[in-house]
This record gives sequence, C-alpha cells and structure tokens, in this order.
Amino acid sequence: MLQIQSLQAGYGALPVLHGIEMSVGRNEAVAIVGPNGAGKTTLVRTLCGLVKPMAGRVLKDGVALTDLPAHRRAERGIAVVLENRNLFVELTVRDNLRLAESAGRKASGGSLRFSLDEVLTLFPAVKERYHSSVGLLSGGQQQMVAIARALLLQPDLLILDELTTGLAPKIVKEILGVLNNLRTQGMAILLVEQSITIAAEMTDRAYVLSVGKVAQEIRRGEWQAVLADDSLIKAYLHG
Amino acid sequence: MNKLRRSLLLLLLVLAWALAPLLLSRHLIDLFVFAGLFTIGGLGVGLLLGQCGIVNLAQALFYGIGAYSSAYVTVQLGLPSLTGFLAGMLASALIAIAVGWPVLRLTGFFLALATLALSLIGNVLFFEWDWLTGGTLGIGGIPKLSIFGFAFDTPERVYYLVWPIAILVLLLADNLVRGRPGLAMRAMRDAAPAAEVLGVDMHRLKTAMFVICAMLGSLAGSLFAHYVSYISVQSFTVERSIAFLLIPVVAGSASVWGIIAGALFVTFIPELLSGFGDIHQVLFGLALVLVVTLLPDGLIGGADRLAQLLKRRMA
Repeated sequence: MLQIQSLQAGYGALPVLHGIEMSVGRNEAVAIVGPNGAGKTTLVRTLCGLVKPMAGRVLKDGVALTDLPAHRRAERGIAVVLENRNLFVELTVRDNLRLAESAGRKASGGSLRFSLDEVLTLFPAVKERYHSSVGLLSGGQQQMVAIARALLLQPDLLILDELTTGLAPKIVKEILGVLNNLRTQGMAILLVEQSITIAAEMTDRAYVLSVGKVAQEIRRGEWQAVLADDSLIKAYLHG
Repeated sequence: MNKLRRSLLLLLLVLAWALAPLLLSRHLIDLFVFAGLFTIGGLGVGLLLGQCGIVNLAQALFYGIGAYSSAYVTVQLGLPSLTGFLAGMLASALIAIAVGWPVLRLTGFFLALATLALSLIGNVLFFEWDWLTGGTLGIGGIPKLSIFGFAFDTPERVYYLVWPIAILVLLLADNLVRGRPGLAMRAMRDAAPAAEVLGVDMHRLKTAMFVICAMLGSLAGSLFAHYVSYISVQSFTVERSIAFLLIPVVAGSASVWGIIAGALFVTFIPELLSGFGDIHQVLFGLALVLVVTLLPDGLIGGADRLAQLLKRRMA
C-alpha cells in the first residue's frame, strides 16, 4: 500500500532523513520507533506532504505522492494525527469533525467508511463533549477528537505520530482498544511511537529509526525476541 | 423574551438609522457615509485578519483602483457609473490574483511587509501614471452616482445607499464565515499543518479571500469617488491602509458585525478629537493604545464582557 523509496528530507538545506526505505502493506500495522531526534516526526511530515522531500519517492498503491501537496493527500486515503494533536482549539468538537467530514467526501479511501455517528460511537467521551470548544477538553479527549477527525477523512491508511505521549494509562488503553478494533476491520496503521511496549502490542512489525536512517527492521514474529533481549532497546531506544 | 428584546433593539436601531439624516447636520451625515464606506473596505481586511490571521496593509491600493476606475470610466470615457464599479472590481480581482498568488505564500511579518510594499507601490503608480490618475492634480468632476436614472446626488441619498450595501456585504460575509469556508479559514489560522492534512488548500483559500478583500476595497473606493467628486493620490496612501487595518483591530478582529463599530471609531474619534488642534493625532494614537490594551478582544469583546457582567449583577 505505502512504499517509501530512498527518501531524503529535512529542513532548509539540512537533511534529517537519509535514504529511508520502508513499506506498509494493506491491512498491516507497522511501527516506527526510535529515540528523540531520530527523524520520526520529520518522516511523518514528509509522508503527509508538510515537508518536501529532497530525494526519493513515496508511493501509495503504486502512485507517486512525492509531488502531491498535503491537502491532496487526504483524498488518496491517507489520514494523519500529527504530534501534539494539532487541533483547532478555538473551534468546537463538532466543527473540528464537520471540517473533516466534508473533506472526507472527496476521499477515494478504502472499503472502510465512517459516518459521524459511527465515529462518535467509537469515542463516547467525544460525543459527550460534542458542543464544547476543543481547547477546554482534556489531553485524552483531545487525542480522541484528533483520531475521530482523521477517521472522518475515510482513510485506508492511518498515520499516528506520538499518540500516547502525555496521556494517562487508562486513556492510552481506551485509545489502543479503538485502534486494535480498527486494525481488525482492515485499517492499515503506521504508528510512530517512543514506547516499544505499545509498538509491540499494536503492530505486526517495526522499523527502528536512528539519526535519520533505518537502523533495524523488526519483522513479523520477532517482537517477543526483541522485548526479551534488551540490547536493541539499549542501542537505539535508550532503555 | 430574549428574542423579543433583540427584535425590539434591532427595530430601534433601524428606526434610528432611518431617521438619522433628518435630524443630523450635513457634516455628521458625511461622517456616517464615510463610516459606511470604511465598513465595506474594512470588512475585507477584517475577514483576512480575523478569519485567516493575515495582516493586509494593501487595502488602500484596491480602494484607489476602485476610485480611479470609476473616475476614469465616467469622466474620461463617459460611460455609466455602474461600468466603473464593475471595471474597478474586475481590475482589483485580477490584480489580487496576480499579486496574491505569489505573495500569499509568505507568512507572518513577511506577508504583512509584502502587503505594505504593495500599498507603497500602488501609491507611487497612482502618482506617476498621471495619464490615468491625474497624478498630483487628481481627477475632478466625477459625476454623482446614478443607478437606472436615479441620482444619488445628496449626502442623504448616498447615506441610504451606502449603509444597505454595507449591511448586505456584512450579511454575505457572515454567511461565508459560518459555512465551510469560514471553518477552513479558522482552522488555517489556528493550526495550519492540521488544516492542510485535512484537505484545506490553504494557498487557494488565502488567495480567494484576498480577492474578496480587494473587491470590497474597490467597491468602497468607487462609492467614495462618486461621493466626493474629486480624488487624488492623498486619499490612497499607506495611512489609509493602516486606517483600514485599524477597523478590525479596534472592533475585535474575529467579529464580522463588529466591523461597523470599528469603522465608526476610526471615522468619528479623530473628528471628535480634532477640536484639540495639532495634538489631535497624538490623542487618537492614545485612544487606540487604550482600546488595544484595555480591550484585547476589541470593542465588541469589551461590550460582550460588560453585558455578561451586568447580567451577573442583575441575576
């Protein structure tokens, strides 16, 4: 579904990512793990079109996205929950979702389609605060709004950047429950996480990013071994 | 009850507006006409500032294009006044697209400076292109506005024309802001990256709003030219652009209807202070500083807070 080939990207003339090679298959959940400064967020921003690549290609279903601006990528079935949620805090939950809903009508995403009611059913806490300003919501509720908003874009690939940072364990559990549910329904997920435990719980395989390069790939079925042997964690993830 | 009270208040306002020309002096009617013109021109700047977070200091350019188009079309070409309005708005829209498309890729201070530069360039061109604008001499003898044979040849008649136009454009703007474009604009202002990944074509939206702003500026300029009958470069300087920007700043930038309050402020306060002689501009500056520091949400935000306070006290 998603292929990243020899991707180089950065800010100004300074490259942050160096020749990244990755792929995410249909109905697959893949994690990108790595320490702070590894280039995870730059990778996400490049995938969604906010950072222009210096070299390499990004393909979705065989079609190059590299020159496509950010606002056109949602139409191709890619939805992103950016780091720090990036919500419109002065708008209500309703308006945040309404904006995504109208953008989602143009999407040529996958077989999964989400109505507003369905999304609100997934997140009862969002439904309760439907008419509140997003700025008045707790961190966990805001994260739920961010995911709900992404789902209304009718994606077949959901990219989530630092989803669980700063959230209470109970909220993390609730959100991961929803994502697991989506996964079983066939949604492809690219999860950018600092917590290797959450990455292992949520995904089939992972790429370990270090100093802008793929340092290692954790293949399907290797998670147990990785968690049992802490050498990789010590080498790349600083414990 | 609330609805009834609001309807009564609205009725009183309409009555006061309708009766004002019968009771006010010629000078005050003039000022109200100018406030109406500034409402139209200031609305464009307000939409850009309040909804998109863009500081536009180029409105005097489009105000001038509207005024000179109307003057040229009616005085030099002898065509009907509505043709001048259309020519001005069309020229403004085309220039806004041509200039806005590259310039609106900038953000923040750089964009504000770029619009300031546009205003300065416009003023220089108005000065230099005397074959079109009359240069320093300006263009005189601009006929009073006439629509389908009805001449708006008295201040009262212009008053009754300008304000319904102002209300109409405010209603249209209010509708725009409440719809999907308004949501997209506020999204772009609050969290631009998120708006982009949600499918908002920010550059196109900004350009569209810049075009609307320019057309409103042009409309106000055309009305101005027909009202005063004589125009010159002095009316389209950077100071005029700053005055247009002050309208939404004073009103509370996100408020569409508050533009009226902002326009009344920038029209009437300098006039009230003019009695103090040379110092009146300093006093106007002081008044602005007071409004901006004491009422960070502008006059409308201040009025809202006062209303809430009174409500709490009365409860």
